[in-house]
Amino acid sequence: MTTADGGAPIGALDLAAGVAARDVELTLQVEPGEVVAVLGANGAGKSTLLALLSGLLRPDTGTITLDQRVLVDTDRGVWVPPHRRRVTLLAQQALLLPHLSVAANVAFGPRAQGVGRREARALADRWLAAVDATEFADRKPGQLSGGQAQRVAIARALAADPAVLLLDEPMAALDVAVAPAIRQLLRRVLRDSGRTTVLVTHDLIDALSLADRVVVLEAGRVVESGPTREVLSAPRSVFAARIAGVNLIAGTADEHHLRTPGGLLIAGLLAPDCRAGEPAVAVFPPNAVAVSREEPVGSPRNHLRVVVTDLEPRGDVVRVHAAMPGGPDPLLADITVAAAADLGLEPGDPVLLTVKATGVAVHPAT
Amino acid sequence: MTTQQERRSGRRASAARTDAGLPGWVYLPALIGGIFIVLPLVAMVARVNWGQFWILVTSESSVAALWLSLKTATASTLLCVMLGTPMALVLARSRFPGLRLARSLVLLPLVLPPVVGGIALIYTFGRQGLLGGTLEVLGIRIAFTTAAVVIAQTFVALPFLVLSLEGSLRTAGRRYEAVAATLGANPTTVLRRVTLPLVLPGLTSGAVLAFARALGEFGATLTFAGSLQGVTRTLPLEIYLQRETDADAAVALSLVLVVVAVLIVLVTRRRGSEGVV
Repeated sequence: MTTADGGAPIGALDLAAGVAARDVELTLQVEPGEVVAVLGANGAGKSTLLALLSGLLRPDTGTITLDQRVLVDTDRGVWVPPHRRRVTLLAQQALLLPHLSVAANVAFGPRAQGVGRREARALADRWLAAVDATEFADRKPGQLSGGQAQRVAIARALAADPAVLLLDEPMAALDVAVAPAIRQLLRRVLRDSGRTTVLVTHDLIDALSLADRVVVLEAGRVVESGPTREVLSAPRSVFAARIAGVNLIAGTADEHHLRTPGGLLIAGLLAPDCRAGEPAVAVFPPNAVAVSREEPVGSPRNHLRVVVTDLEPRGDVVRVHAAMPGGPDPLLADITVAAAADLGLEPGDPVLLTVKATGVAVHPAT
Repeated sequence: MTTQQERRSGRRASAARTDAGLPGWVYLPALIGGIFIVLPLVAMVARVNWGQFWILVTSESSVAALWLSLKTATASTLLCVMLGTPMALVLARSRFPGLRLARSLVLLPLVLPPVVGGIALIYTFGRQGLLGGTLEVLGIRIAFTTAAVVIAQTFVALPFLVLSLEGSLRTAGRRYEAVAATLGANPTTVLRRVTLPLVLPGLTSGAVLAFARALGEFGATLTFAGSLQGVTRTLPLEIYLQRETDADAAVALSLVLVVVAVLIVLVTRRRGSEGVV
């Protein structure tokens, strides 16, 4: 979609900046076209990161470069203002300009960058079509629902043709019923446009379904960074462990299951935006997993033959770490201390993990 | 479900609180205050000589004064918009040392007695004033001209526009401006296509208030511009003058100003009267 310098991939981002007043000292590298999810508690520095990248906040120290351009270099006194960065922000609220029509809102970026009226309108129409919002073109933002407005805001952000797209919890202010559709739309447009994206989120599902990589912030520092599934299934930072610490099994979706590369079928509840044959991930919490030595009786649909690798006491429960033979994904099960004693578990023991299908959520993955 | 229920009952409780809050005795002084404002207007309307009304307000000196008032108040409102808008933007959006002091100084004409303002203007623009010599060299004389009326009115009306617009700017916030900037709009484009359209209601009500203040200006005008028929004698000055000789004419002209004031209040109320005043 975006071409500069003869079609070379653009959107390589490199930031190392500090803001003393907020006790923030951040480093971040993003590859062209990469989607990075930034996770962290409130006050961890997520908003500061976006403000630094967009140019709404000046760092006290550090540099930010985008491709060959130095956006900020405090030592050399370089400062590129927000409107010359080609870094566009999509916030929680759609923030559509209330006095302009939907089409004029989407055409705002191109118009501001000097594109002619007619061409900007054509661009707006194209992006409105891309987000399935053509029918709203002539309405005023006040006549749209939250989900509709956010669709238009996505079109407006992309019509500005940014080298980097910043998403600040874009689903957080939406109705629970609307969020999956917007997430699906973002998946589609981010994949189609191959645009470098920094996504701030609280939501595990956002990170899983949109991001290639996860960065975790704590107290103004990057404490963890890595491929999404690795960080979320084996979190090392406190925050990632709190929101994650879940079982993740990767594979492809079919009608009612997740099929692992090894051919195992995991029954679960499929998210509405799952498509058969597309990459997906099964998510279930450790406390939804039962551990037994023999084939259990009853309704649970999922039986996984695993080997215990570790036992971790956690107050009232014992967390059983286990691995499928030949499977790279570690699995976790929380059982009571009494149950652990009854079973007499030791590392190396073969056991059976049982999960009800209703305890498993299957989401599309990147 | 529970949260929804809680929220609903919470709303009911707060509605009940607003009903219970006010002690009954408050209504008495409030009523006296209301009568205090309305009664003089009623008294004046009662004194209007309706048979002579049209003749009185269309006399040569009345028409001259009314026409001069409308012209000068319009001119000073335009000046207020041209100077006050940038002032409000600077006060609401920028940060520099002494900003609070600057805001206090801008509001000074609001609390200053207009006569004092007029004296200050004489020593600024008058022939012996601070800028008087320079203006004299350029062949410009301001004191006791229509330009002096406009200057006096602008001086007293400017804070009304600045206050009203600054309030609107603060209410509107910066989030829209930030998003527009990241879409590639330079500061001038943001101002023209985002900020000003968003605060247009505040700007309008500020301009209407400034116009009202300019229309009613008396003290600074009389001191700085004098009272020459057709040149500097605006409607309030004409009313004051007529009061000595022809009370009926003064009352009739006063009624004209009351009607204008009522219209202005209605217009600003309908606009949602943003801002402070």
